[in-house]
Amino acid sequence: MQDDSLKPSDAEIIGQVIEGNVNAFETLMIRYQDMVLKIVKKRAPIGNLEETAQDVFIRAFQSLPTFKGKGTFSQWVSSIAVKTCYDYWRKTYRSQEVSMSSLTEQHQNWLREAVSNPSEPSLDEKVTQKEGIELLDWALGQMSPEDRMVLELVYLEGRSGKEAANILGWSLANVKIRSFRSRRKLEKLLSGFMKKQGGV
Amino acid sequence: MKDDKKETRNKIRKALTAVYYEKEKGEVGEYWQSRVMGQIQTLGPLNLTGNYFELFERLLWRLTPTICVLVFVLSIAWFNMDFLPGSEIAGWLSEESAEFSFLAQFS
Repeated sequence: MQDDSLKPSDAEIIGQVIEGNVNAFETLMIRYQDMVLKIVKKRAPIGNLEETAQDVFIRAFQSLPTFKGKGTFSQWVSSIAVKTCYDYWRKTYRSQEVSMSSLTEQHQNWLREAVSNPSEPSLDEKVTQKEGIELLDWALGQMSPEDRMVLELVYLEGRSGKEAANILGWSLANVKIRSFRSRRKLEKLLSGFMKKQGGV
Repeated sequence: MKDDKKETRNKIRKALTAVYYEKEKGEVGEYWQSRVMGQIQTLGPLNLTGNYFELFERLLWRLTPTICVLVFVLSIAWFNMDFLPGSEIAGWLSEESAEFSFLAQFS
């Protein structure tokens, strides 16, 4: 097992990259690609996953000279990943929208099941998870890119308003207002979906 | 009634959070990493002068309000200085003996 103290620190690698050693960036990429991919997979559509994740690393590479080392490199690169996804949704807003007609009774069943008995795993969990993901994607697709980002960070990931504000570079008040509104909108969308499908 | 609503909300949140994290399981292609590194290599070493320019540009926008205030204050100061009474200027000139003698030739 390699001793961690022998590995170059992030700051050392950043220094090398800034001095012109482009290949040193690969070490940073290997260290943080899992984390970045996790962020992007949750936010970008599967078809655009690779492209968006690539944009994150290119953006990080080009912005390296602006990294002041105030926080950790992982925090800095996470913030770039979230902002890149936000930019993706800003560019494709509306064009990626999923219509409600694509949702079926199975989606409705998923939601009904979630409300009635979320702790017990269903018989065919993989299928129900697929319905759940599609329903979530539909609901998120109805939101503005700003509301979507806040909803993901605060409502789904459970981050504090302050954390979300730091990541997005917005004011805390803006995040709080958006968080409240987007949550309301999500609840309205889901209850509207249930009513339209003739549910609860 | 209120508690029921809260419980339903919590259940929905829990279920949505679970499927949200389920999305993490997607995979990227085998050669994705080398493709990204290839892209980065084509960009070449970081151009620091370009980045300094970008930094300057950002800084310039941040400093714009201060610059505006400064320009405003300086304009007022300059405007006031320009309208000094003529007698005051004459007073200054007369304090300089050499200049005074020079002026005396024309009087």
